[in-house]
This record gives sequence, structure tokens and C-alpha cells, in this order.
Amino acid sequence: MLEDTLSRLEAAKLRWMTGGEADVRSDPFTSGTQGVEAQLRLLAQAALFRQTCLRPSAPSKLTMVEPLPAPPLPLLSTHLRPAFRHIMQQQDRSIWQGLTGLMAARGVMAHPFDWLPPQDTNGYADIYIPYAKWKAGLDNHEMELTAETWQDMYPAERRNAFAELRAKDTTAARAMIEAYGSTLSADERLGLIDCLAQGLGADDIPYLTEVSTKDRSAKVKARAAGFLARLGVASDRDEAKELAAFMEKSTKGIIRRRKEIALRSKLNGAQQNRVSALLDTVTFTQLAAALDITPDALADSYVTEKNTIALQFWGLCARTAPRDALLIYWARLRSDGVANFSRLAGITDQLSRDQIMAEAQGLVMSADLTDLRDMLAVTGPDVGRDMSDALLNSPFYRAQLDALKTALAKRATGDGDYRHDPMVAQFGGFVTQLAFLVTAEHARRVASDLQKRGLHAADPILHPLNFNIALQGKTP
Amino acid sequence: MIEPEAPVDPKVAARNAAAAAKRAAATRAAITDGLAEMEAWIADQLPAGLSELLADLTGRCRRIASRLVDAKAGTLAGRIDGIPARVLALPQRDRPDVLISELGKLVIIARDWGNGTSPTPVVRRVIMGAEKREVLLENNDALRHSGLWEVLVSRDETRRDGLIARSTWLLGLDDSSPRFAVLQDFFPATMGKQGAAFTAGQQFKAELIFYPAPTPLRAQIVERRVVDEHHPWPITPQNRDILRGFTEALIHEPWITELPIFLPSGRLGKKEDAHYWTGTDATLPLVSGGISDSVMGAELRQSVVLWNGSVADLLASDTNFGRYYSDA
Repeated sequence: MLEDTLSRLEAAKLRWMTGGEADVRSDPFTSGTQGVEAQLRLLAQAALFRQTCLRPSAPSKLTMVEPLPAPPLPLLSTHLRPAFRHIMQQQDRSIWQGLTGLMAARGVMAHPFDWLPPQDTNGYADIYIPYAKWKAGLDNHEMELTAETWQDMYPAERRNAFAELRAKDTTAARAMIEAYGSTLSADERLGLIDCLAQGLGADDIPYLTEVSTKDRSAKVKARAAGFLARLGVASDRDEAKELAAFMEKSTKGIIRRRKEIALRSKLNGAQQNRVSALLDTVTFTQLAAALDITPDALADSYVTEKNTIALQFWGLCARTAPRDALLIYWARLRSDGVANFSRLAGITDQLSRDQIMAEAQGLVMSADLTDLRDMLAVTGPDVGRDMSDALLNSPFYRAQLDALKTALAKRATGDGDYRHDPMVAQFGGFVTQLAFLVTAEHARRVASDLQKRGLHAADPILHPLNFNIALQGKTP
Repeated sequence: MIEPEAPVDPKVAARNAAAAAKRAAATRAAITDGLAEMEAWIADQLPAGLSELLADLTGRCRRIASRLVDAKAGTLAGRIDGIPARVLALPQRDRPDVLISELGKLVIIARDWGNGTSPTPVVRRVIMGAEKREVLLENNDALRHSGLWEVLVSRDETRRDGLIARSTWLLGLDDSSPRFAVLQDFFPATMGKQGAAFTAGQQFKAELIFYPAPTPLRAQIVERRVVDEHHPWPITPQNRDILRGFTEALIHEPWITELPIFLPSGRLGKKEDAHYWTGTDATLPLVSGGISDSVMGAELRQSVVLWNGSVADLLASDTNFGRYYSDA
């Protein structure tokens, strides 16, 4: 019966689709009517037949995705998920890293329905690696780094395992990268070469020499050359002499008669470009030798400035200077007010965690904190009570509050919408990053400070702070 | 001090009643004529071929819908204006069946209306729109239900008449048999995007009053209170035929186009670009847009979909990873 009806209605459908009247002569649905009336009655029946009498057929061979991995940390509570999604709507990797980092520090992780990590998990907490692997369709079982598993491991996992191996057995780690490093992308090779900073020693010189001359990537070559320089291995001395020739020594100050080294003034464009290129290739020790002074003396006498060439000189110093010289020059940058978190980020691999935090605390009280992303990259999120105190007592924060008050006062006097004020817009970015750094208690204090300056309690600028405050879990 | 109401002049009252009756009769006649034109329009499509209609579906639907607006059947016109979106969103192979279903249901609506003297209240609503809130609240026959509700999804649809229709689907959390409700709000598109009054996953206690219907679904909130705790979904007894509720609803209201369905435990799967929900006894094709990658890897303990007779729109699921909301 059902089959007969289906067959009649399928025939009618065919007629209607191609144009024409369905055959209704033997159709019980049409009650003996003819013409248009019979067609409409049959159409009404056809409308319901499929939806009431038939059921969808299952396609053959459905592809099922592997089950989601079990979360390594508890998932964010349901009531905070809308706020999380709201903040993550901003397409800004630093915000994603800051927020997920803050959550990881407080012992929770993002719900996979709300957010999955990008393929490159660099900058995200390791708890997201299983989800990145799942998203990439890879097996999720844990692997130990061996010659057999090297190629099968997920990049972030491989880097972590390699760093662990390097910490335990420097020779085994070097042998591993020597044998299989060339199979990886330049970015990944660079990440693994960075791991060699741990336990860097004379045994690494042959491998680093090989990389510094033969690697396919200029970035990787430069990094290996930097490590060689730290190990006191000199390369092209002619280039160092060429760079030194662009510099001049002078004596400053009537009483102290301080020696100063700087680039010669009046360099033309081509010469400046050449200096820029040389700063990327020579080493600090070579340059000192070319100038006929010790590395410490170079660190003590090279000018501290804020321009691009000075930034490149700092890069040269961070990459290749012996540790003592590096710390001398860093101290001068600090005392001359040129140091900032961006520059500190260049030397964190040579400092202990305590040293990093001590330097960061000093910078908080003196540096321009407009872009807290650099601080976040150095210290990580949720910096603890002391650093949070420092942030809220910093001259920069107090000045920002004053500027906000002025901007909000404009609104009160009807002088434009405060949301369009560039200062307020920039301040919103500052507060977002601040919310990832401070403790819940300090986030509450910031929110209170802002409201006292006239910010409405429902202003979106406060959302990241409110999220921090509401985040349950470990609060330092 | 309350002023006493002025006595109504019986002659004026009689005149007003007569004028109202005359207006109602004129509306009835206009709608009846409009529906007759709609039936003729449908009949005209068949000899020319529904393939041709599919090729110009938006334009042709727009023209007959405009005629129905003139005939004071604005709500039905909106439904016809929505046909292209409902049909053309489907894979090519499914479009003929769904188009036939849409047209056939229009015929059923027109036949229920007849000459407009005694259509079922639901069909009157399908054609002319729902009664006002005050009228609904005074209707003693309207179902009222107090309980705990969860927002599953809130969706906006811009209509051709310049209004945005916002439908907020609710799941009742008190009963073991699933109870759904939909709140509908309308506001002018010119007002711009309005902030959602509800967010997916939000729970509240409320007394709802339902527009009378064999399958009461559309409702208004009479009173609403916040709740502090987040409550679980009810564990509902499962029927082997998961579409039985839709079938039964069609028997009483053959004009309905979609109905929320509670699905038992299952998972999502894919074949080429098409998504499916699959359980022990059934597999349903899904509207693919908006399904996140991550829910594909979750075990779905229970799910709610909007079933339109051919494809399911996943609204929310209770999973081994907690709640999933398609629009969150």
C-alpha cells in the first residue's frame, strides 16, 4: 500500500516537475474530482505523505570524527562561557594567548565548543596541544621522542620533548637534531635550535658551525651564528672591521670624561643600509676586537638610543654578546630610560625566572607600558600580587587614569562621544592586557579606579577585568 | 479620584459594531479572493513545470506574496516570501519534494479558510497574524504553564515588510516529556541590530501563556524570574520513531513547517560536505551551516533540532562536554 502510494506520488512529482498534469484516474486521494481540483488535492496529499509516512534514509559510510580528547584541566564554567566568547571575538592572537594563559594559570581551560587552538600552538599553554592535534586529525596518544617517533610528533609536542631531552642529555638532543632537524620547517628548526641555549657548550660547535653555514634559512643560520659567538667562535672578521669603520669613538663629559662609541654622523643612505646589514651578521666580540677594546668596554661605551639602528645593535648584543657584556649594556639601557619589555624579551633565554621578574618589576615602574603585550610575552599572565601592586602603582598607570578622567570629562561637558576619543580606544587595549596580568583582587581595584574616573559600570572596557574577577580557581 | 466612565450611547455602539462587522466582512472577502488567486497561481505552476518555478522561485513567490499583502493576508505572504530561502538552502535533490510540500500546505491552508466564516483559529493566525498580547491574556482557554525554561537559540530573520522577526526557542526543564515554546518579537529593521534579550543557555522561571493550538508552541511570557543555579535537561523517555511527534503534529496541523524534536543519544557524522545526526534507530540530515568542528567529536546525550520534514537544524545538545548551543 505504502509502496503503491509512493510510486503514484513519485510519478505525479515527475509530471509536475517537467510540466503537466499528474494521472489521477485511479487515485483514491482525489475523490473522483478532475482537472485543476484533482491536481490541487493530490498536491496537498503529496505535501504530507513524505513527511508523515517516510523516514530519511541513512547514507552509507558516514565519516565519524575521533572523539574529542579529555580536557587536561577543568573546563571553564558554563556561566563564564558567554563572556569568554565575547572577548575571543576580537581577532587578535595576543588577546587569545593572554586570555587562555590567564585561564590556564587559574586552573581552567577554554571549552572546545567555544574555541580550538590554531595549528601553531606556540604562545599557548601546552594543555591545548591535544586539541590542536585533534583538530589536525592526528592520533592523540602520547609519544616519547625517538628516532622512530620524531616525524610523527606534533610540532609543539616535538619541541617540548626536545627541550626536555636537551635538559636531561645535551649530547643525545644534539644528535637527534643533527640527524633529523633538516626534515622540519624553518620555523620549527629555529624553535629547536633555540632549545640548544640550555647547556650550550663547546660540544655544540661543530653542529652549529654546520648550521650557520649550510642551513637553508637565513634566520636559522643567524641563530646558530649567534650561539657560536656566545661560545667565542669568530667568523668573518673583515665584516666586523667594516662595521667598526662606520663607528667613531669620542669622550663625553667635562669631569667624568666618559668614552662613547657611536655611528659616525652624516652616513648616507647606502652606508646606513650597509650598517644595518652588518649588524645582523657580525658578532659582538668581533666588533669589540675590531674596535680594539674588550666586549665589556664596548658594552660600557656604545650609545643608548631609541632608533632602529640602536634596536639592531641591541639585537646583535642579545644574540652574540658574552653574558657579562650583555648585562652591562642592559643595565645602561635601564639607567638611560631606553629599556623596555620588547628589549627584555630578547634576553629572557639567558636569564632565570627570578631575574626576569626582577627586571620586569623595575621596568614596570619606569617604562612606557602602552603596549602590555610585550610584558605579557615576557612575564606570562597572572603575574602575582607583588607585580600587580607594581603595575597599579606605576607612574604610567596613574597617568593613564588621569588621561581617562579628562577624556570622560569631555563627554560630561557634551564635548563629543568619549568612545571616539583615541585615548579611550587605546586605553581599552591597555586594560584588556592588564586584565590578563593582574590578580583577581587587583582586577577589582582597576575596575573600581576606572569607575571612579567616570567609566560606566557596564562599559565593555571592563569586560576583561570582570572576567578575571569572576574566574574561579587559584588566585595568587 | 476616578472619574466614572461616560455611558455609551446605544446608537453609537450599534453603529460601531455594524462598522466593525462590515470591516471584518470586507477583510474576509479580500482574503478569500486572495487565497483563490493563490490557488490559481499554484495550479498554473503545475502545467508549466515546477522546474521553471524553481528557476525563478524568488521572483514568482514575491509576486503572489505581494498580492496576498494587498488581500490583507500579510502573515501568509511572509510565509510565501520565506519559501525560496527554505527550498534553495537544500541540496538540489531535495528541492522538488520540499517545494511540493510548501505548495501543498498552502492549498490546505486555503481549504481550511474556505470563505473565511469558520477557519480554525490557528489557520486564521497563519493567514492574518497572531492576536495581540492583551487578547491572548484574556483568553481563558489559552494554556498557561509555569516552570523552568532554558533558552536554546535566538534567531533573527529580516522580512520583506521591513520587520525583523526574532524567534527565541525555549526548552521546558520541568517535565519528563519535552515541552518547547517559541517567543516571537518583531521590530523594524531600520532600528538596526537590537541586543538579544536572551542568550543561549540562559535559564529562568516563567509563566508562559501559549497561543491556542493543537500543538501549543508560540507563547508569551506572563511573568519571569531569574534563577541562580544552572539546571540539567530533563531525561526524556525515548521513542524509537524519533519523528513521531512531527507526524502527529502534522495530523492536527498539516500546515506547520517546522517543529522542535528531542533526539536521543547520538553523534554527528559527515558524508562529503553534508552533516548528519545519527543514533541507534535513525539518521537525520542536518543543516550544515554553523556546526562547529568540535561538536563533531562529542557524544551527544540528548539534542534538540528543528525538523522541517526534510532536514534538521541542530539547536543545542547536552554532550559529554557539557552543553552545546549552535548559535553561541
